[in-house]
Amino acid sequence: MFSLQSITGVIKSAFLTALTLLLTSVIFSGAIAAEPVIPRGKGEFCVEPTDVMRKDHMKFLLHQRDATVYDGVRTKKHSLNECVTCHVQSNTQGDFIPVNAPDQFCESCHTFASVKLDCFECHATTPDSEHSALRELLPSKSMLNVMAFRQKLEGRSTYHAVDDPSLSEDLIGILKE
Amino acid sequence: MTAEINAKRRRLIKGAAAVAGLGSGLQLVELALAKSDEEAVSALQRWGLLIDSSKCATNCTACVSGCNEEHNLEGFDRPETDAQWIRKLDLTDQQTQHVSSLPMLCQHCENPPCVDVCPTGASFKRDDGIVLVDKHTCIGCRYCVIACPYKARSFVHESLHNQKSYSPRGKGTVESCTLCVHRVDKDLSPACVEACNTKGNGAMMFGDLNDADSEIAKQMKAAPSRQVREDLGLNTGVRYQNI
Amino acid sequence: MSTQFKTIKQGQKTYWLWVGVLGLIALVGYGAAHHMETEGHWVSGMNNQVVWGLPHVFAIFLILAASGALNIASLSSVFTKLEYKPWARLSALLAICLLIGGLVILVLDLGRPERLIVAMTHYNFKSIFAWNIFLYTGFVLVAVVYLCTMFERSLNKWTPASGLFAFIWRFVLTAGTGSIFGFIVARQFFDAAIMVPIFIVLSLIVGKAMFILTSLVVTRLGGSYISLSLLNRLIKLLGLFVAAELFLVAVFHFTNLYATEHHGVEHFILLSGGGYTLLFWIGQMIAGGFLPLYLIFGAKREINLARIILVCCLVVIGALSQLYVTIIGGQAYPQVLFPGKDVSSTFYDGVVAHYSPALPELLLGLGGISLSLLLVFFAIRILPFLPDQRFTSQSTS
Ligand code: HEC
Ligand code: HEC
Ligand code: HEC
Repeated sequence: MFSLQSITGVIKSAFLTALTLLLTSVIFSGAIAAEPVIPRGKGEFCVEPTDVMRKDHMKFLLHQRDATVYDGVRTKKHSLNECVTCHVQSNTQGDFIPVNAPDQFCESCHTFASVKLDCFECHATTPDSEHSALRELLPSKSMLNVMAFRQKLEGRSTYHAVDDPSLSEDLIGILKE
Repeated sequence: MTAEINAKRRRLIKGAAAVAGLGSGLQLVELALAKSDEEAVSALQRWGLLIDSSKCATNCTACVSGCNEEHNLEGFDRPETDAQWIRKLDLTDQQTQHVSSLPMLCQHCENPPCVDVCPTGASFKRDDGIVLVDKHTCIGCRYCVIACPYKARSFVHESLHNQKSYSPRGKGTVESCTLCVHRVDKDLSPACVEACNTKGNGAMMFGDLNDADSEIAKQMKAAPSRQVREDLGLNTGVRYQNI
Repeated sequence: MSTQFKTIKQGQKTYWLWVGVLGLIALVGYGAAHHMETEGHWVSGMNNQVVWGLPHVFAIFLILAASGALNIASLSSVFTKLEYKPWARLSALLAICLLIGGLVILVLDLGRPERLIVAMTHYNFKSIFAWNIFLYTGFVLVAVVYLCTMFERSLNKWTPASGLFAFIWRFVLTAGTGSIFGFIVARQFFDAAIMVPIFIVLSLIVGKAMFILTSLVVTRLGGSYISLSLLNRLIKLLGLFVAAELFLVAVFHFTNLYATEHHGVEHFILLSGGGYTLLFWIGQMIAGGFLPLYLIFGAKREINLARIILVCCLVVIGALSQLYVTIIGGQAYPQVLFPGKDVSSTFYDGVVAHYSPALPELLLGLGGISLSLLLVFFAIRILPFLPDQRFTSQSTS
């Protein structure tokens, strides 16, 4: 009923709690955080002017969060997944390093500002592989091209349909919009 | 409202496409029907499922694997605490010994008890009828798990890694079938339905219950279907046939 | 008649021994909660079938005891039974502390306790839980105001009014707590409005028991005493409530037994539920019901102190058993989705769910109780809660 593991776990936790209570008071009195290293994102610009991002990125994110969750708005601009896609770094083997790793984009700055985020307990810290391939290769972000590209990957060819003369001008207009 | 106009426009296009009988354009027409990314969901739609138990094979778990893969519900080999968003139920009638099988999942009720009991309002129903947990405001009290008549909810009992970007999940919050909102918003059908149709026996149908012209609405009108625990009057969005 | 009050004597070894032991248990309880939170709830016995476990049993016990403990004060200011007046302060103090202990358990057991602020800023007013957040915090406020009117001479005239308000509030609070279960249509064992009176009467029982036990300890430390005749009166009142509770529980089960729909769950609790059945009959019915009744009403004239303590311990055990059977047994029994069909699945449909409490849960529960008592111990040192019988007229004997 009471496993040994849970007993040691409890003892460990009780001990750690006491210890952290003690240590935090010590640390808060005299620690100096290092200046963060902020690696650049991919591409030329961020989704908003850099100084605006620096100041207000959380506002965009929190607004986007509610818009997506409650209203199903799925615009890319302020999506958390997009931040990750652009700001993730790769190591020398070409594997992604999680964005919330200590020296990485989001985390280095937050450590400096002593902000603690829980976002990445749930949100992916690296792009889904298919998703990032799309981003690297596509000149435009339009939905249509993304879909067309996905079909190309799957070996289908309906993406040519954009130029299909049998489609009425109207329909193409709406699609492009 | 723009949502209304957009929904009408989509129906119009669908009609036009049917008339024109486009060949290779079909894929594109589906694209055009998709809600645009900026557009908010609206109550003009109500998404739902129709499940034909007579087509659902006892030993088939295509829908379950489809869901698990889509949302990366791999678990820790601890069946009592691992999350299950969809599960297969095998039913044997106590009197007649008739055996049937069906997938059980969040029934996306019109009047969901989980939403009623949630203290913070994290459990909510989207305008288009999909019942969700806003994991940003879920405090992990688990009252909704107690209140759900369908046992459709799971609590995340440990830290997770390698979540899918489109399906964030994390320790200490409650979760359940999202009807694959991320897919529905792009006009794709939920992963379970797709898996059932490609790898299973085609027992599941997804669609808009409010659209009288949709396949699902026509099917429901033509043949009897039932809600599970209809006595509770929850008006479920998931309906069953031939149990 | 006016009562003088005092703080407890300074520099007592036994006082610090109590504080030390209670503090240690509370700290270990916190460690246990921290462990459950960092590792995740899989280290507890709770799972996706039984999502509320031992911590909830303890928490609800404390919340019930809190509202019940206030009744000693209500007896004096609402029912003008003056012999209870010297104990009104301690009664209100105990009520506040027990409630805080219960709430701390509930909060620490949340999946995301750090989001407590969310629970205080986002409300769904249809949720009974949300009502309860107001009822619980409101209860503490109301009891504090009530205490103030008792402490401050110039406010004394408000004591009856605030006492009446607190009395009404506590009824609503217990009704709210009962409704957490009574309004759940999804579970065979919960969906019954009679849960509300059952919880109210249970609160009167455990509140009195906790008051008697605590007052015996603190009066000993404080050098005052609670008279045996008063305890006798209290314990007889408690006996009446035990009888009422037995009656309500009987009604509950008989109604269930009448409806075919509920035969399964009744069979489970009353006959085939293994540990749950045992707890129901031995814990809830015998230890918490018949035995206390016998000990109270079977006595010749005056009930002696040992017997009073025994009765209090028994009803506490009975109440914990009752809550365990109700909360956990009610979840362990499978939900019925398809009446008339046998069901099987990979998610424990159609089978009794497994739950065995894990050590961290027990420690968290005990930690909450210790925290409550610790708060009482601190308070009686700082402010005069205990009657000073040297200056009290002999009205209590
Ligand atoms: C407990 C898990 C959890 C945590 C913690 C969490 N999220 Fe989310 N988040 C979700 C879920 C689930 C969705 C819905 C995904 C969907 O519908 O596609 C979501 C969606 C979002 C979206 C919209 C989708 C996107 O990629 O743009 C944003 C923005 C977002 N969250 C931001 C945040 C931020 C910022 C934080 C930290 C402050 C955070 N989330 C913490 C679970 C979580
Ligand atoms: C298209 C790729 C792209 C996307 C998407 C993107 N960023 Fe950026 N971000 C950049 C680039 C490039 C810079 C550097 C701009 C510069 O140096 O002026 C930058 C800079 C920033 C900065 C300022 C860093 C500094 O130097 O102080 C912040 C903060 C930031 N981004 C946050 C975000 C967040 C949050 C998101 C998601 C809402 C996001 N970014 C999405 C490319 C991107
Ligand atoms: C230039 C430094 C910097 C960078 C880079 C940065 N942040 Fe921040 N972030 C901050 C600061 C400073 C705050 C705290 C602002 C405050 O508390 O008012 C913050 C706050 C936040 C918050 C709100 C936290 C809360 O609980 O309210 C979120 C969400 C967030 N950042 C997300 C991100 C993400 C995601 C990235 C990486 C894509 C990122 N940030 C990169 C500096 C940065």
